[in-house]
Amino acid sequence: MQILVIEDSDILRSSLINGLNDAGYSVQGAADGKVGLWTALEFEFDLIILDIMLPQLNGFELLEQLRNNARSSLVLMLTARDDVDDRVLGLRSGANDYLTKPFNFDELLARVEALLRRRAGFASNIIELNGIALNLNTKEVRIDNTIVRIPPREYCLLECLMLHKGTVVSREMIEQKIYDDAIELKSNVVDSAISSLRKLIDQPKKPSRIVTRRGHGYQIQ
Amino acid sequence: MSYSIRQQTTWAVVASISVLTTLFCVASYWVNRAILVHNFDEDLLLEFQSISSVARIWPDGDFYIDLDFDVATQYNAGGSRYFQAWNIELTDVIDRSPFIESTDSQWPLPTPTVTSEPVFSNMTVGEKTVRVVIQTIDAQWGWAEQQPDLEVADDIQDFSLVLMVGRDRDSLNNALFELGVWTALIGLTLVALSWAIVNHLVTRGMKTFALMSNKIEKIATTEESIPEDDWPDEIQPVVTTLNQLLARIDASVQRMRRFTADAAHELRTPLAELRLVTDVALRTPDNNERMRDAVQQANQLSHSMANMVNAMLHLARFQSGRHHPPLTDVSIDMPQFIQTVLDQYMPFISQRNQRVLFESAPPLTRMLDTDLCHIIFSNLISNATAYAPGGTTIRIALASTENGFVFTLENKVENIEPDDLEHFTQPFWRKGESRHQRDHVGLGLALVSEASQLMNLSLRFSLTDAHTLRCTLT
Repeated sequence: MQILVIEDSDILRSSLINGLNDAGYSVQGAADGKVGLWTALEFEFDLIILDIMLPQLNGFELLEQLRNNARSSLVLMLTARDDVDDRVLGLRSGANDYLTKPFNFDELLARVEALLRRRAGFASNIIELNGIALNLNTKEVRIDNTIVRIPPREYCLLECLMLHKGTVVSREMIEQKIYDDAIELKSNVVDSAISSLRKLIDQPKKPSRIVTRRGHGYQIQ
Repeated sequence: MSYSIRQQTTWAVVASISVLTTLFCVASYWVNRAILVHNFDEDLLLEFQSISSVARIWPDGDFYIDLDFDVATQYNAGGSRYFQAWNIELTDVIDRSPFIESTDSQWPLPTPTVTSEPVFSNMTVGEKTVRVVIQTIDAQWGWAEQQPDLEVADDIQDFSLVLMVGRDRDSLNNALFELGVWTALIGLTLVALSWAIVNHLVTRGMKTFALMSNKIEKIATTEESIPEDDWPDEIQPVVTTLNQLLARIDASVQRMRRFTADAAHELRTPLAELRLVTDVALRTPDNNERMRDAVQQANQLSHSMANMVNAMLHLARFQSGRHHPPLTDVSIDMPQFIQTVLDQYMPFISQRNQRVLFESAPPLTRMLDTDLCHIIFSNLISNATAYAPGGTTIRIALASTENGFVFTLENKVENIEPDDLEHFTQPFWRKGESRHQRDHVGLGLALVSEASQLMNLSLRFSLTDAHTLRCTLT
């Protein structure tokens, strides 16, 4: 999952990036409104954590331009302003949620997860499919009621496939969801991850749960 | 000690009316009394003239008051009128009214001297109180009608006598008594009426205060005011003044509310940073490097917040009006002082690739407070270095004047409009909404302004051109 943090406070921005990275998200940061808008328009993000009071371009203006450019990334607004009017304005400008500073990081994480889950059309934190149960909050994976330890890269891939269960996920989408800019993509990195995941979740002598759709991508069944 | 305006006003007015009424009643009594006595005396004088017209002397020297029968009854016993005549030498009583004769007595002369002018006097004889008139008169010639040509001795013809005619004073006394009673009753009635009327009017007038008090009681917030319509002319200024007071209080409350909200708002960002950096670090307790960074950042944040709280406390103290710096003749080497402040910011100035041109003046000795001077110059220089774009020049000049100095500081600015200048010294004001400059929470220039006022210095901001801000301190 790709998250963009647009926040002018260095400490807040770096802490959010660290915390969200620890939670398994791929996170980028921007320190002012103009850079934040450029980054948001240039790359595809699942969710943007947006501060309102930004230098160069404030959060409301940035959000307006984002929506005008048909970007449908989820937006979680962060601000020290807790007036009802500000919250209403933020939500009406196209924000999906609103969090007032100071906030608890767990709460922020829960809201991020809830937003992403809602976007994927799930009401519960647990996505189940064909004996696999994936807990979006605890990142715990159970296969036939047995906890399976899955490394972060493979977990992200599984989460991406489970969130898009029933549909084919393209290779490009997998690349975007799983890896951040710092990692140089290699041509076989997706294949390698798919292969590792299959070893972890497939049952011996049974068809793979991940089906390859040639020319289109992968689908979990 | 509480007191009632209604009671005070009522009693003051009633007391005044009582005094005036008393004076009026007494004067009225004495005037009416004088009229009554005068009328009584007039009647008595007519009576005297009537009696004197029948005081006759006869050729043989016989003298008597020749009363008609119908008149005589009034002088008889049981009557109310009296007369008595003396010879001119006052040695003998030569005639008396029947009542006096019947008592076989003579009434004394109430006055030592008698003239040809009537003299009125009061006298008490037995149980009777009598008012008398006494005068020397010439006796009427008893023969004049029947024998006008009769030759009579000269001493008979020139016979004079002293005549005293009196009347009972009972009627006069009764009239005077009634006059007194009525005057007193009217006076008391006037006082009582005045008390009732004044009390009623004052009570009615005070109802406006009760109404105003009622309206004031209903005011729940400083944003409300007393309705200004339909008040009496006397109350209208009070209502207007109270509303002006409410407006001033409201402005002060709004200022305090804004200050509190701004302060809370400014503290939110560092608190959020503190909370988040520690939250995230505590999630990975084994990550020593992150833990160390978090502690360092928390420490840095605590310093920032402490600076902000200190600035707020300074500002509150300056604005309270209770801070009176000891302005003494302190010898401050101003150029050296400013250079010292400037040196503190040199690392930051170098880091931003800025240049400082400082035109100094000879040492100045002025009535100043060193601490306040430090607050002023460090905040001005700190702001200039923080907000001037990197690579620009900051110009500082200090010149001596006859009684003071002129300090000017010029730096390049971005996005500052002329309308922004008036907000520069408002607490927590910053151009734009970003709060990323943690060391500049918008209190510095407010502090500079307050500190300048405490030292009677004038602080002015102007734009010399679209991108150059000049601060002048004189």
